[in-house]
Amino acid sequence: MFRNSKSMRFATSGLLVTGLVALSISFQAGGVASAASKSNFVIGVPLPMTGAEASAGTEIFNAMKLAASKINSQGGVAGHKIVLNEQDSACDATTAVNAANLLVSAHVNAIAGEYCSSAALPEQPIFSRAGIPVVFAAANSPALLTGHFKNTFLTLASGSGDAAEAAAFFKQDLKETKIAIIDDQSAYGTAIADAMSADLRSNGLTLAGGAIQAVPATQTDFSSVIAAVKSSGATGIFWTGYYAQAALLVKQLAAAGVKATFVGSEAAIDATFITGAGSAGIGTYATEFVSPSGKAINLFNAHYRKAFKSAPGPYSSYGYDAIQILARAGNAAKSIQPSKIIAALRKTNFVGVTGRIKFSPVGARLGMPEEVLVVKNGQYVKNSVQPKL
Amino acid sequence: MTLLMSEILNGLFLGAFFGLVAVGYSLVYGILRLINFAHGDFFMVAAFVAYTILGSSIVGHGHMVWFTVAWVGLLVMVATGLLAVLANRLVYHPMRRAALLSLMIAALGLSQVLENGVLNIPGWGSAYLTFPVTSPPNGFTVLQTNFSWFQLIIVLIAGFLSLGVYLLVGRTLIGKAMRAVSEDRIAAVLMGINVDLVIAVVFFIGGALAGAAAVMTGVYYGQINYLMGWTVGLEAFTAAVLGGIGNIGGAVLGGVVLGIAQSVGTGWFGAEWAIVVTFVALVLLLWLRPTGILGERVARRM
Amino acid sequence: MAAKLPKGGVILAFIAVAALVPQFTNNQYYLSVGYQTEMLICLALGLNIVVGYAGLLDLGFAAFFAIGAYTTAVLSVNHHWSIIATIVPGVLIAVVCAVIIGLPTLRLRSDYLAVVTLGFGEIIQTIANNMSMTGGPTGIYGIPTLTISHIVIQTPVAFYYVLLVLLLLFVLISLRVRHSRIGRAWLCIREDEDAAQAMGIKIHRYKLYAYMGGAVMGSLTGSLYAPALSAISPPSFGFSESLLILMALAIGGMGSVSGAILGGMIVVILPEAFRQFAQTRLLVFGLVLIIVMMTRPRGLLPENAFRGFRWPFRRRVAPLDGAVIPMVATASSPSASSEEDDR
Repeated sequence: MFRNSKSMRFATSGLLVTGLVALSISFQAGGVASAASKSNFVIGVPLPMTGAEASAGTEIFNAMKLAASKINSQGGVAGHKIVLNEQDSACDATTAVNAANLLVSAHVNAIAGEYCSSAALPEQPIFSRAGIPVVFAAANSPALLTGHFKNTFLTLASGSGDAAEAAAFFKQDLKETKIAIIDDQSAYGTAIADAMSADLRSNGLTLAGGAIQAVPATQTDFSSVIAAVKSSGATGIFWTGYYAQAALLVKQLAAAGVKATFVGSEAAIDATFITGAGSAGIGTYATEFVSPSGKAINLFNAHYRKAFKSAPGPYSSYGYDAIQILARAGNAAKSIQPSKIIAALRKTNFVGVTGRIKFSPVGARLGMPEEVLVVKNGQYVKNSVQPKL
Repeated sequence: MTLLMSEILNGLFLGAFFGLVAVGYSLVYGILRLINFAHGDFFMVAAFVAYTILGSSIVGHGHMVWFTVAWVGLLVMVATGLLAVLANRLVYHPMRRAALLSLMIAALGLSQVLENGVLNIPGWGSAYLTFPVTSPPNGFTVLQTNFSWFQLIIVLIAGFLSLGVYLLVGRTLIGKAMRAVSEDRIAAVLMGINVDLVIAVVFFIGGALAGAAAVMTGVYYGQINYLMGWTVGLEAFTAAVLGGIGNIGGAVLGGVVLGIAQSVGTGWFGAEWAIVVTFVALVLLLWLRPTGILGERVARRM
Repeated sequence: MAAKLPKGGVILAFIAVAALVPQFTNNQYYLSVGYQTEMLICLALGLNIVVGYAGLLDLGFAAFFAIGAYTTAVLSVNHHWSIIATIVPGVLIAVVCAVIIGLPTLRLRSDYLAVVTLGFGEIIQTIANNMSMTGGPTGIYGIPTLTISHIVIQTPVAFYYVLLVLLLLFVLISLRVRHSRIGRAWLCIREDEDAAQAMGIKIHRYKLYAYMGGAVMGSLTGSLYAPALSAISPPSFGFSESLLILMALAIGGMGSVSGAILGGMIVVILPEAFRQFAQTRLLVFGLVLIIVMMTRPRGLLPENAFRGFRWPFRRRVAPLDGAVIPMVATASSPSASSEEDDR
């Protein structure tokens, strides 16, 4: 049957292609329809919903939905209802470029989202050309600000504050002088690790082993790195990667008999860390941006748990605030026009669930003081010994 | 020197894991000449199944926990073996007349289906899940390197299982049938060997070993994620090739060599270069011995 | 020859239609998906030289793509070269890498070659991730726009046409080279390495040529694609990218130019078309992949230039359950060429 069916082969392939084209056209038609109703404040949300970072993307998007429905119930933005248009960027440059172009073609009013800097960077010029305001929810690479795009705002301050806080903590409170730095080879982790390396030097502390240790983000066994840390004689460890690996690392450090004090950066803070690390996690530290009143964030956490039956992720609150920032800018401008929102975003000044939000002229989050948390009784509490500033 | 020794010991332990998954790869390859990219995902699915069973209320207290873990482990081994057999029946078996590359692409498709299937199952999803039972950290010290008793148990179980498969292939009737099918499929059919059964058995064994590795990974590392199979699969594949693919002893040896190479490479150059060290070593080795460490027997067999 | 004509016609028609697409839509999203499709087809055509023509299984083809993209990015961002000028060093580096990797490994069995190429892909990605020159994990951003004698290529439409020209070039090369002396040598090696050697073909040399040819095409594509992305980072060039290229080729049909085109369209457009299903789309993609391979194992548009040619990755033993085959097939099928290096 297959032997003499060249024409059939073409026919089937042709059918397949036609089907694909028809599918994408029908899909696009849907996109146009949703954008055409001009009365909505459409916020495009590029986030990783598939791939290795899918869980972070989902957690941020959940928080955004929470914010949007709350704002809508209070009358929306300048009389317009918020509609979120979520597009998967998979933390991959190519998929991200498609997501960005799709959102621009759908004429969204603003962008809130993106978790990975590797996806945010190629999206940036596309949004910039279209003149759409962008509030990055969790991507915080300093590289996002060096392009001087006038439409870019970062909800999360760069991680260098984490490093400075941790270095001061090691020196003044813990009195540890030989510190090992371990990063996870991600853009986020290496940036903080490099900052920490410089901070150690300026504080007169030594980098144990003479070099930053690194473990690929997919690795689950840290035995060889731990052996290196152990033989370097480090008395303190600063981890700049994420919570999932942090839990494994802390457990394996304890099992290997390493007594050094463990301090994580903000990405290490998550409920999964506490359950995952178990007894090994007790007494470990993490640096975090100070939230001014515990009330706002606790309320947010409670809402999130109620709505999604799970704990929010480490960046959920930033996603929540990204929507709030845009909504307030829209209300201040009394408009949902992209250009007016950009102008209003510059004057942002309010207290969100992640603290007071203000932007520098280039769009960086301003003035976020840091604090150190310690794991006690199955939760994070403020470290009682406040670092002397 | 002590650092090097402890890196080697750590590598030995890692190798036990790689080896166990690699044996499954190697077995399937030996019979079908198929690089089964979905093998690592059988491992991943097994970890999630074990997570769900152990997470339900049946887990006892005290020493009963380990009894539960043992029988759940056996159950998961059987379940994963059956999953592998099912995958073979649904995907690979209907494609037995197709080109090997097509089979390989289908394996990649299956891998995508398994990963994204787990991603879409409520309660599993994309989060890092904490395993309900984790191993106690107490243990012993060799050459200034701490090992937990559970690590020793893992190595023993891995060794025991690999030895079992080795004996099964080398000493039993079904093993003889496997070797016959691997050597010449047509002749095997003419000798009255039920080739489909042999293939099913091979998939079952491979799956069961991956299941055992998955339960031990879950209990030892305490954390699972839907993408965990991919890295393990890739490492196991490399281990299988390193040792001489299609050869059971080679797969285990390849796993151990790969574990040590990664561990020592990390110690010398830092973990960020470990994969480069591994593959450069692999290229050099294959350059000197184009059939892998124990590949000779495979070559003679052909 | 008669068999070639309709296919050539199909390819021409495809390119004509592709060239007209921007006349019908100026939707930025369509066009960006469009030039990504062209990019993937270009890569698939490059890989087709290696896998489809010469029969060498390559699991790390994205490495050459990365070499082109990174060379262009580094030279244009850090050293202010024009994009066009960076193409030459990109191609040169790719060829040197191809020789370094190819010389020791091309004598290996195809499974081992697969793992070595896979390793090469991982090495290139790791180097990009660890070197400060390549921007580490953040990668390189702010890659300048492509200018071809004062014409600034910046919009998706412009990139669409630039990559279409590249695609046309690759299609012509692929079709022409196939029937040249070197192309016939490749096909001969793919069909039967022993026979090829007996005919006096220097198989290692021709395998190396194939590997180099693929490297050049991969690197060229990378150089032109980097400015379209404006920012590149290591994750885009990993094993999954290599597999995607290979998948395109396998779905479309190994060794077939029209197959590479169709396969490239499917692997890029299908996941995009299912975008609204975010978390389930890769599940659907995997299922489609399995179904296509089960129903059309040689791809949707297989190559059929040679009557009764031997498929490069055909299993060593003849199928089992066919009532017709056994005796003749076993007698006439020698042990696969890929195992010959075991001696």
